[in-house]
Amino acid sequence: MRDLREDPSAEASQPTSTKRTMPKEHREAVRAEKRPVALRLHAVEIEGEVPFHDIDMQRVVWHGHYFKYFDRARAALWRHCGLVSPTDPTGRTIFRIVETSCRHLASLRYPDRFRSLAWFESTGELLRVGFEILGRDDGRCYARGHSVFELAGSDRELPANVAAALRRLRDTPRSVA
Amino acid sequence: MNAAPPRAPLRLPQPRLCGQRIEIEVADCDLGADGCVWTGCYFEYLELARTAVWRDCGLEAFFLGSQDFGFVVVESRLQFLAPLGAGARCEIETWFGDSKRSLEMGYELRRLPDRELGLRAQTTMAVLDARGRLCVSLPAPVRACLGV
Repeated sequence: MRDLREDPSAEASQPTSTKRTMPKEHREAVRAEKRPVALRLHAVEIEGEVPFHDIDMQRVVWHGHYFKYFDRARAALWRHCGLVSPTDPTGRTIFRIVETSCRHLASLRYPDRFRSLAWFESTGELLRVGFEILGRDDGRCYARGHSVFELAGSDRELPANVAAALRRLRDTPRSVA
Repeated sequence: MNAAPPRAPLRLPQPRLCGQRIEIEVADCDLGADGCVWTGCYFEYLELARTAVWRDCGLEAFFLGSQDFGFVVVESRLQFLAPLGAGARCEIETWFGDSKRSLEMGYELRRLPDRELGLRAQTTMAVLDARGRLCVSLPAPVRACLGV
């Protein structure tokens, strides 16, 4: 496995089996991958540095670790919004993850520094959180994803501080990033 | 409350090529404060399953030693259906989809012994040539491993 950044001018190679190549416009469109317009409520960001133990034998960050970087930003977002923790003080689950995804657009390497962003995209019955990982120095988008959470119990069972934070969240004026 | 966008059911790759099953047991260190497996640990479970199916169909040799091809994960999608708790045993079924351009893999994790579906997942891997450039179709040796 190789890092795509090693050859930034790399074009799609000719496949082993056929001589077809991807049209240039298509390649550029894929590379640019226009950012979808989405609500970014309460966006927060944290900074991090790729630790050596997150690198696989291809010398890039193993894809599963990006979710750790997402989760750190998610925790910061929830603290920022007063949601504090996905569990209550007794350890009972308040929010349960139901879905997550990640698109890997480039590979982070040791010891890259990055910014991990998280924001709410939806605060309805399901809380949808968007994520991005950007290079701190080059501003490049390395990964983009989302997670969806649901309340594990009913609203009545929520601790008072979490219920209040959720109400504030729902009352937030909406804006488009 | 604001209306959340509806959740589309995760579409898994079809047909199921080179299917393989492994069993795992949840380790205590994978548990979060709520006693359930933390999200990120599922990627390690899926990686164990992926390794098994790649070894079984002969792709692991490309992954580990070949200078001819490289593989990069470009997308992962997971849908959580039932949490796993301490000491849970589960079975992960893994397979390849019939994709012409990339390696698409599907996963289903079932809790044992009742075989309740706990997770559906899908990963897409792009294939790079020896110079690190994207192959726009699966190379013949890779297709041969999949039997397509």
